[in-house]
Amino acid sequence: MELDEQDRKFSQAAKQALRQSERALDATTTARLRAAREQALAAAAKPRLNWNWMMPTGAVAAALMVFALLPGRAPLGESAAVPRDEAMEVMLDDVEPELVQDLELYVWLEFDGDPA
Amino acid sequence: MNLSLPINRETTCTIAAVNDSASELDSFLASVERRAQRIAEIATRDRDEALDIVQDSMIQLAKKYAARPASEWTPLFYRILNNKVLDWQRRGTVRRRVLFWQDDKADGDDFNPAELVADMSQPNAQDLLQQQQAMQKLEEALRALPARQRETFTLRIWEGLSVEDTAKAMGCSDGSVKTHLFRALATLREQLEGVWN
Repeated sequence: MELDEQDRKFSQAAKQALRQSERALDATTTARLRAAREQALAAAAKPRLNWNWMMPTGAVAAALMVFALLPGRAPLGESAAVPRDEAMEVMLDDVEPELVQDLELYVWLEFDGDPA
Repeated sequence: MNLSLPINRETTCTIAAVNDSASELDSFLASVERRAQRIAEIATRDRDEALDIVQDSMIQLAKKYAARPASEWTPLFYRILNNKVLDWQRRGTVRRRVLFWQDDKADGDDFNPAELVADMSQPNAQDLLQQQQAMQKLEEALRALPARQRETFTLRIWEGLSVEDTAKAMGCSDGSVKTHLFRALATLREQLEGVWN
């Protein structure tokens, strides 16, 4: 389906007129377009959620949950504290320091914060 | 624990790459913003609505596709823009009724023959009047086209995209692009006979 000569002439004339109408946009509109562009660039620069970081974090949280709920685990006490800490260290080896701090708080809440 | 980032050559290169990419995106958006505005204006007949559509399209491109190769931005941007125009048209049944009523006044703002008559003493006034009328007729004819034909005409003729890129932007085959364009041109030429032919 090729364009004939008249189609080409018509297309060329229409294109010229439409492009001319772009140049005729008023100053207010062009200023607002510039502002819109700046907003878009700012949106692109915003940091997005880092899934590379979140995936191991989620995996650790899930592992901790399983570990805490594991049936038949040793009763809490002095003898259980050492292996639990070692396991925690292994699991948290590659995790961000802030998360470790939070997890330490949760562990403290679980084992020390609750007298029962 | 040392949390500070070491500033080495690799980090410097990364920062430079990010700046280059932002600058490239800025140039790209600057190159399409006026055309996008006019495309949206013709479809919506409303400058503010068109500005919102263009802004949303720019933000979506920047957020989701800034990391893609720059060569893909043009079809992606126009695809986003066209989708946003279509969304606006689908959403706006009630609003368009209101706009239809307002357009009587808005049209008067765009084209006021009385003002032009007052300027007839200027050498090009007659030409200017004819150009404005022809442009107005072209916009009306474009607006009256089926959406897919209008998209094809806009991308192939106005933007000058290749058949392949137009097909990418529209999410259809090359053959469909050719068919839509053929029909669009036939309709436009028929409607604008005597004005543009």
